[in-house]
Parts: sequence; C-alpha cells; structure tokens
Amino acid sequence: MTTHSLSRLAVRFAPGLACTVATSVASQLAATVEIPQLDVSEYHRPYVALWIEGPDRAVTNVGVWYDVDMRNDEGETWLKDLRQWWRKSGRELDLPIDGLSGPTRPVGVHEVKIPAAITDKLAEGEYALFVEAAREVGGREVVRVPFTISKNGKIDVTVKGERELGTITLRQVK
Amino acid sequence: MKSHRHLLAVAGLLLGSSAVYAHRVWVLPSMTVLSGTDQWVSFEAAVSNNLFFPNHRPVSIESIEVRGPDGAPVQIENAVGGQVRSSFELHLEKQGTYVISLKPSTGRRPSGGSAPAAMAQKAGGPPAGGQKGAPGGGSPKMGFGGEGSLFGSYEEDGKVQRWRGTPESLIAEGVAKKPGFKLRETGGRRVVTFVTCGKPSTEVLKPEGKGVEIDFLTHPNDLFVGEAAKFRLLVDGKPALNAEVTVVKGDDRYRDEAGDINLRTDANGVVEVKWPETGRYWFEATASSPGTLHGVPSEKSFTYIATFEVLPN
Repeated sequence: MTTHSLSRLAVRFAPGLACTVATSVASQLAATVEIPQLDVSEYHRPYVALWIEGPDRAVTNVGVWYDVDMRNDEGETWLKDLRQWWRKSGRELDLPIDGLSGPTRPVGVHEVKIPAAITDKLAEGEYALFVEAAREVGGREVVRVPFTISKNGKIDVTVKGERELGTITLRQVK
Repeated sequence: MKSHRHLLAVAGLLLGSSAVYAHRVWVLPSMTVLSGTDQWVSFEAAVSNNLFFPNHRPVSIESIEVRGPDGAPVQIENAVGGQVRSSFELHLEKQGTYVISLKPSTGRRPSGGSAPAAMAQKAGGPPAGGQKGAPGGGSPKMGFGGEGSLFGSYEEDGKVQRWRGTPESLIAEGVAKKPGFKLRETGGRRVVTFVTCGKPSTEVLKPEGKGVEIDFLTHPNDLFVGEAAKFRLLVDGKPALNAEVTVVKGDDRYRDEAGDINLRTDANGVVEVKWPETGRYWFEATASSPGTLHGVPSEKSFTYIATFEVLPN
C-alpha cells in the first residue's frame, strides 16, 4: 500500500481565498472523541472517521479508525458503513494512509490532535469538525462540531452524540 | 379479485407499459456500494407481483450479463435457476462500477409460439404451450415485453379485448380490422442494475447510442434520500422527450397502496427523481414513438428498467 503525505489530503482553497490566518491559535487544535459504553450483547468497537469541512465544503481528513491490521485489508470491507465519510472522501482514498489510518479505539475518551499541517492551512471562516461512527451489528451516527477560525476568536466547542458517540469537544490546547 | 380484473381492463385501455400489468422484472443486488477488495455481491432476478419478492417467474440465468468497470465481461458465479427466481453471485475483483443486465430479448418469437387468441395470456406468463415452471424457465425469449413483441387491443361486445402476437398473426388473424384496434410494439427493453466497489466509475455507463439507454447525469450508485437524481433517457442516442417514468419503492407488499411515483422526462429527455425514503427502488422509463407495421398504425415503445438503492445521508 502506498503512503501519502497529509498535504495531499489538505483542503484545496481557491487561490483568491488563500489568505491563511496561520494563527498559532488554530495550530493547537485538539478534539476529544468519547466512545460510549453500550449495553449490547454483541459489541464491536466502532469504525470512526474524523474530518473538517470548510466554507467551500471541501473535506480535510483528520483520521479514520478501522481494522487496519486484518489480513488482506479485509477491514476495509466495512469502511463504506461510514456512509457520509465514504461518500465525501473515503472512496477516493487509497488506504491505509500514514498519519490518517489508525486502529479502532476502545470505550473511553480519546484525544485527537489536529495536525499543524491541517490547521496552518485554515483561512478565516466557518468550519465544522465531523465525527462519524459506525459499529458492526450496531448503529451509525454523525456528530457535527461547528467552529469559527478568526483572528482573535477562541475555539471551545462541545457537542454531545446521542447513541454511537458520546461527548465530542474541540478546543485550543497549550 | 374483482379489482385485479378491473386493473387488467385498464391495462388494455391504456395499452400501457409493463408496469400496469403489475408483473415487474428486476435484478436485485444484495448491496450496491462496497469498500475494500475481494468483495462479493449476491443477486436475485425475477418477474414478480411484488417488489422485491420472487413470487411469479424466474429470469433465465442465461440471460444475465455483467460488464466490469473496464467494460469487459465478468462471469457470474454460483448461479442457480430456481422456480420463482434465479440467483447468482458476483466477485468484484476490480474497483469501480459494474453493470448487471439482462441480454436484450431475442426478437420476435416464432409465429408458432404466439398466442393466437385474445386474452389468452398474461404478460410474463409462460410461452403458450410452454412447460409450466420449468427450472430456469423464462427462457431468453421471455415474452415479457421483450423486443418485437406485439400487443393489441380492440373492442368487441362492448368490452376491451387484448391481443398478443406476431407481425404474421397480426395479418393472418385479421385483428387489425377490429373496431378500435390499437397496436403496441415493444421496440426494445433493457433491464439493469449497478454495483460499485470503491470509487464510482463511469466508463461502463457510457451510452452507446443504440436502443434504449440512460445517460446517468447522477451516478446510479450515488443515490441518497432527499436528493434529486437526474437521468436522461435515450433511444438510439437521442433524448426521449415526455417519456413515462414510474418509480416504485420496494416492500410494496406491506403497503395498501404501492405509492408509485409517476414522472415524465422533460424537453431534454431528463427525468429528475427525488427519493423520498431510503431503500430499494424499481425504476421504469418508457418512451413511445408512433409508427406503422404492415400498414397498421402502431405505437412502438422502448422500456428501460433499473433497480436502484437509495442510501441514508
């Protein structure tokens, strides 16, 4: 499998819009993703995709957690169940991708640092972090975490999932 | 079955598409959108009264053909021709979109096999004198609105009579001289479905300018609830204007009313379908053009039938 640099995945802005703020603020963004404990008889860790959509709705991938280590890339079979991500981006990618693909995570709160390679390219504007989870023999949920990149604005957003995802936060970290 | 008879009478009056006969032909994939490599999809193919439950006739397994993302033929696997449905599987070894279709019907059936009598046959029924429920039945000459089939209607004793036959029997039986005789000729029919592994591709979807086709302005494996899909109906490469389109969601057996969505193609031959719900849909578009056969005015119809899956957003 080929590996790709993250820059290839970075959002492509129209040249005229590329007035990057390059805030040190934005370069220290981190999300937390809570995978909730579920009372079900058959539990499999969810597949999870995280991505950022900008004003032009272009997709910048942040991460995808799936069964990366299965034989013959068999884990990719269920990537399509991350339906929204699969449509918007997943099906265009040649996985696994270094720095993007990762194994599934257990129940608990997981911190995800948004790489500077991504945040450095975010111009001022309205964005949203999307977190989509899909679980084998379980449900699917997409949580949208809106945020604004501005010169002085602080980012501290909390959104609660309802079923497959718990609390999602996005904030600046020191 | 009073209402059913009523429907048949209406069918005769309308000289309509196969939809009004309620026998619908379909090829149904178990999944349409897949990821990963080395994937398999299973299919059922049947002519049925309900979508998508096999309860009438199978579609001949020999009539199935598949083209892969590069346009090359792909072998079906584990094929079974059953009593009420055929089934098979497809190994998706390439990334992209596959087209699964029935071979075009093999033209007009031999005169001897035609049903001479009015009201003799239901569309989709076995050929006259055919073996009832022969395994793998519904031969390539399925006689289900296939290419070259002739349908007629006329009035006798105040009732609408239906007739079905061939160009030879049309003249030989003299039905064309009956009062109010109307003739419909099926010029061609396609029955298709689509599956995609990985990124949807378009190479295999390109219209060839022959027969009835759809120019997919929206990819057939990229259909989502609440969104409008645009398809352009073509006959011999030309947009078919004002063609009748019927869209029916599966599981009609659990609804009192099937809830058909009736649409027409616009001045560019384009129909826009806004999917009200997720699920599997049966789609039929029928273009008609007036013509004559042995001097008898006829309406020639071209029908495109597809099965689509509409996903949650």
